[in-house]
Amino acid sequence: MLSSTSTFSSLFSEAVTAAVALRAATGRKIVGYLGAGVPIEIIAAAGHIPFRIGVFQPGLKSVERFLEMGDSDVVAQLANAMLDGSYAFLDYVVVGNTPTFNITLFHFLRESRRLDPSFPAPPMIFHEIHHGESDTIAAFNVESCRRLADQLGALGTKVTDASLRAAIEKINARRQEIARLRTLRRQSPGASGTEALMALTRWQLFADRPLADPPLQTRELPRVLFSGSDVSHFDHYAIVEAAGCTIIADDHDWGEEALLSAVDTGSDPFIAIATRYANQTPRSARWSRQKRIASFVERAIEAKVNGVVLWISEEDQASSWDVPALTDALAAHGVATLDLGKQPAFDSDSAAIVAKLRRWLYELSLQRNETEVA
Amino acid sequence: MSAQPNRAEFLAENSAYNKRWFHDVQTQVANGQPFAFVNVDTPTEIFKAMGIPVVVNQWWASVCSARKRGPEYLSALNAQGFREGLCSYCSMSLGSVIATDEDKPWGGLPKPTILVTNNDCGSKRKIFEVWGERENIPVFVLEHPILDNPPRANIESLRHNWEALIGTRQIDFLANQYKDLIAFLEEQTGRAFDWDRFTQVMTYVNEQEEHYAKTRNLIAKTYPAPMNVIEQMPATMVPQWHRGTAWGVERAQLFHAEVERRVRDGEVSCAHEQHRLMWLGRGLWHNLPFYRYFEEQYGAVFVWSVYLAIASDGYPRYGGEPLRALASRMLGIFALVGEVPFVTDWYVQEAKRAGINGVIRMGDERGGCKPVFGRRHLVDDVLEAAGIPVLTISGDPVDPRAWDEDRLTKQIGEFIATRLTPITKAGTSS
Repeated sequence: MLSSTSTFSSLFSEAVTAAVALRAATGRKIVGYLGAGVPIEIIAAAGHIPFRIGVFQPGLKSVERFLEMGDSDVVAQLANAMLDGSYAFLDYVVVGNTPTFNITLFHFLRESRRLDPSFPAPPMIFHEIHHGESDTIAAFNVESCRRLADQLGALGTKVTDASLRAAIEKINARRQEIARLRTLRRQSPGASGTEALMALTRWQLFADRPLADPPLQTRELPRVLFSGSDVSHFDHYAIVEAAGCTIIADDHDWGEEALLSAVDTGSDPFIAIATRYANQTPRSARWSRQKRIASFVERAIEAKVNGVVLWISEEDQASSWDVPALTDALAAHGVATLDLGKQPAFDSDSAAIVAKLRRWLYELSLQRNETEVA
Repeated sequence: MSAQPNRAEFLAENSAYNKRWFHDVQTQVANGQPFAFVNVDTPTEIFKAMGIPVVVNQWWASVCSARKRGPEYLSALNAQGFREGLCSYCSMSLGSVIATDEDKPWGGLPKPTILVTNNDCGSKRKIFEVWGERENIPVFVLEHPILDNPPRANIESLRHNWEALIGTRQIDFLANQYKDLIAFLEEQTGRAFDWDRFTQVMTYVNEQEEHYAKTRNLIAKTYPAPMNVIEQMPATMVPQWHRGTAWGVERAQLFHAEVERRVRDGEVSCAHEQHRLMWLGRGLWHNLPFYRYFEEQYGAVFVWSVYLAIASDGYPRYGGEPLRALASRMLGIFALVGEVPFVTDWYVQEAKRAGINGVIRMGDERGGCKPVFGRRHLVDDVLEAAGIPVLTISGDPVDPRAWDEDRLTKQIGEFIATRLTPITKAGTSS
């Protein structure tokens, strides 16, 4: 298997070292952010270093005393990461309202900090973006972005239209790297999904470094779109690809689709930011079901995938509601789907999953042969 | 002092009214009138001001559940390819529509003209969208903002001090969405929003909820308790679905009058009351008599559930522009039941008010209806710190398949015997 938790853990350590060095050299603060819905352009325009938060060293030791029946493993792991010292280097944290479990984490950390000022989580700012189409929601989103700029500006450099435009242009350029990676993944020779996810993760952890092209391989393997719950850990791709396929597209909070779209440079920068983040490629929770499914199918067709793998956590009820219609819509376009069933948020049975995937890929290959013969 | 009064007559009248009202709605819908089906986080006050009958998703789920239809309706969803264990409380109504049974509760839910939901968990929206697509019904989605930095205050002050406690930014956002909803309803139904009527609805709601507050206070200070949660829950909830009407006010008044009469006549739920329990979690709609067992066996009376208390403290709103007051009501209610520090402060305040000496909290081994972490721990911490032991049990409010009565009866019995009784005895001997 190409990747493992330790590989991603190394990426995290490298990124921490680089971000801390940059802070030491420039005096800029490091602002962690939770969720792909947080506008990194605003963090950058306020003079801070954006650093994405995830679970790179799974564990529950630091939150054991808070755990009980029915608690979310995802939130527990994130809370653990916030308390075990992994993110002690952060100066502040911006918590986005998507994925929805971020809200639970925010409430927990906020109250714990209130009860115990020595609680080892950095100060937090909450940021909301909603995805409805009304003028009311659009106006709220813009106001929300202005508010974030004011809050972060007060901790660094005041955010002006000009500084925000400059940050937008810089990060738009960086988003072109994601577009290039996307192209590389779809061609042959191309990048493996695991390598691509590593590149995407590196980009998000600390978006001040250029994206190096991942190694390319000639792969005659089935092309798969991976759709997963917005879980902040990274073993899934390696497990799926070990079964004999290549993940060439993804649908989750750490995937390319969440990063790809550029911010419009021709309009008011706050409106442009709010619009970009409200209209990101729809993912599962919070977005309109119809839009998400339509977008998903369009992406699957565009990427010419042979099949779609659904790796949905048992906690992710919102995604689960899409499964029957999504599967039907994909089937109508000749795209097969494998739903791996309810998966634990962490510690899936990788051997069982690989076996299931192999059977499915074998059936897919038979279908492909039949199609070619016909 | 006499124990176990007969079930209050007004409860049967409430149920009969509810059923009649529902049948009237069925007739109206059959005659082409509009009908809204909404999630519990949608303010029914708006629909009442427009003369649009409205049924709340969780109310209909409790009707289905009380008629033991939960497993069948949830299985109907599974048969459509939806996973097991998904959002039972919020999806049962959809299951009731999909299921092909011919004897649906109360003749079945008429086809809604419009579906309205909040989007806080991601799933409620999906469920309504599945429904909307299936039956070609428009869906309106509300977004609740987060109270990111609420000040702390006495929860009872929410009724007057709501602007400061909930936040202007959040209230404005939701109130503006309500304006959008009104415009949408006007367009979809041809009914006009009547501001005078709306103001009257809001006045009725305040009157109704203040009757509940007086009732809550009276039960809290009366030993032994004049009424347990088995009666409190339906006495509160049936009129709550009709809040904002003269009928709702009258029934809340009757509820208070009945409790007052019991106090006057010395009628109590359990003459040998030893322990006063708080039930945290949704009501056991499929098994309300469960609560009675502990009175008989241990003198342990469930005197508090969230339904009467939230009516008392979550709903009343005075002053300000009525639509903004309504937005603050809906935001405040959900903060009180789910968001620290509101929930922790409130539970302790309520436990102390009602003389609670033990808490039973129903959780869900399957992960509950949305991600939770730490909140329950924080709730337990503050209750235990206040000297009130907490027991967590696992169950489902509407799906009896997730309910192991023997195990839970034993578990609660042991909790009473090992944690509550020693404290009560120590208190008595000192």
